[in-house]
Amino acid sequence: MKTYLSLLIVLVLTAGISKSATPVTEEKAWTETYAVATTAAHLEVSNIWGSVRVRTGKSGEISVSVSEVRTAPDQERFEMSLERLNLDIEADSNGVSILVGDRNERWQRMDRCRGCRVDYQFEIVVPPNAVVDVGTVMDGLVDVRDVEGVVSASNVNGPISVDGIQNCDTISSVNGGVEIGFSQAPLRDCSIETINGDITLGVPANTSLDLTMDLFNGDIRSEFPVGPLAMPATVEHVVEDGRNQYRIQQLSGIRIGAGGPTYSIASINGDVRIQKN
Amino acid sequence: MNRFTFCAALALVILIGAATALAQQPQVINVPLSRPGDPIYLEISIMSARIEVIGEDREDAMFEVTVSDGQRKIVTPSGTQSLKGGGYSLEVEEDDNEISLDMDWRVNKVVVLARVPRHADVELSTVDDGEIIVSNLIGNLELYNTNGPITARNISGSVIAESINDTIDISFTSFDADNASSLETMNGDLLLGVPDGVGIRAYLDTANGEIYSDFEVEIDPSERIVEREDSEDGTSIYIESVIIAKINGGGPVVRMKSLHGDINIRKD
Repeated sequence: MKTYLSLLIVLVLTAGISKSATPVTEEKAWTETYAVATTAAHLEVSNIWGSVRVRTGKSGEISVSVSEVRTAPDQERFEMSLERLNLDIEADSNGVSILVGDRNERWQRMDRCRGCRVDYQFEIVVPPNAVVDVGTVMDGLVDVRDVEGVVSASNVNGPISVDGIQNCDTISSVNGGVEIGFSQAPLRDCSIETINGDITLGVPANTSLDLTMDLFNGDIRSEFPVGPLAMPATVEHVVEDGRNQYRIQQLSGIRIGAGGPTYSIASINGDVRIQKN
Repeated sequence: MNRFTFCAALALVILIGAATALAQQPQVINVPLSRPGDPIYLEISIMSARIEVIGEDREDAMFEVTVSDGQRKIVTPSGTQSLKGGGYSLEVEEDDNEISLDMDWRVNKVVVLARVPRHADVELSTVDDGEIIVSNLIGNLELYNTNGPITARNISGSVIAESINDTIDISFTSFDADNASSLETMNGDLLLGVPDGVGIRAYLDTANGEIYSDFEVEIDPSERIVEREDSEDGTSIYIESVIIAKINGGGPVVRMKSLHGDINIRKD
């Protein structure tokens, strides 16, 4: 009897341990198409784990293909992740907005499901003239091609590749390189920054640009002849928590061609290359 | 144009060009104080800088900052070019009469001229290719310049000054009775200016230099200082033997220590 009792206890404990320690994984994929107006539709994607790829297709619709891999350390937290880590999609005729997590308390929800993870790989087809603002945080690439509207892209731990575009607004990464290629000379200002990575800017040979540089380490190379761009120092006065702060900042500047829109480039540890397409 | 005139003109053009390249227009920041009329605390720490602080009868602080062009280059089809402006940021913060000036380390060389109220405790530090100059202050000063000189004039209070490879030259108008002063360098001379009739008790220590004094000195019998420290790594024993010299009957302690430099006490 004593032996049987011991065996029963071991079985119960094993069952308990195996139940709590078995990771749970679920994979699924789907595609959804949203009708949008033919004028510049907006696409916004804010991913956490995984890549975001954007290509151009037909006018009047945005097609979103999603591959989802959901993992959790155990069944209980898997159920919790289903409640807390979902796609929050808003769509109307102006465009589509996709966020991973809750729109209002995104990071708080993620913190409450420790060890949970949902990888979303997005393949999105937008109208050629769409305005695109896409980003991810971990283990993914942000890749945008041939969009005629204004493009913004961000990544935290990974690269950004944007090619065949006409204008950008903000392109930023923390730990990853940034490659931007233009199909025509850009017409509006843009900010490009990374902390640890190279920045490669490819523009057509007839491009005229003003570039301001806020760089720490790394080389700068240009396939274009460059001229000096006078950058006067700026003095900013800020009152913060009763403290007076005065900041003087002076950037370096160069001019390509006759000058044009201002591209501000900031990097801590990376080279900057300006290339002719 | 004869040859001499041409050479002179060429030299002038080169000089003007060099001056333009080395220094940009100074930036001036006026900082109002939270408590005008009260003493201030000022901290400036920059890697490579000429820092000058002047005490004046004023109720704000004024900073004039000049930054030389950086060395950042850009490689272009026609060759390598310098990027003008260098790129830098500088921040001055005032909080309850405490002022700090910080700068990122991208710049080559910074020249800071600070005009502050006379009653000021000051901490200044620089490392490379720098110089520290202070004048007309009443307060406690801490001045650190690793590879350059430190000069202070018309100081009333105490001074802690440390350099490794250059001269320290401090002139007092009066000494703080409660706070000792200390001047220490490895490879430079130490110069101390003492007003006639003011008494100090000087602790003098130079391994390879001479000691000079404009004052008659009264040497106190001194005991060798021996400190022993036992730790897991072993035992270290520190021995210091100094000359204790009373000037004008003694007074606040001024410690002067150099390894390879002379010590000079002059009558101001």
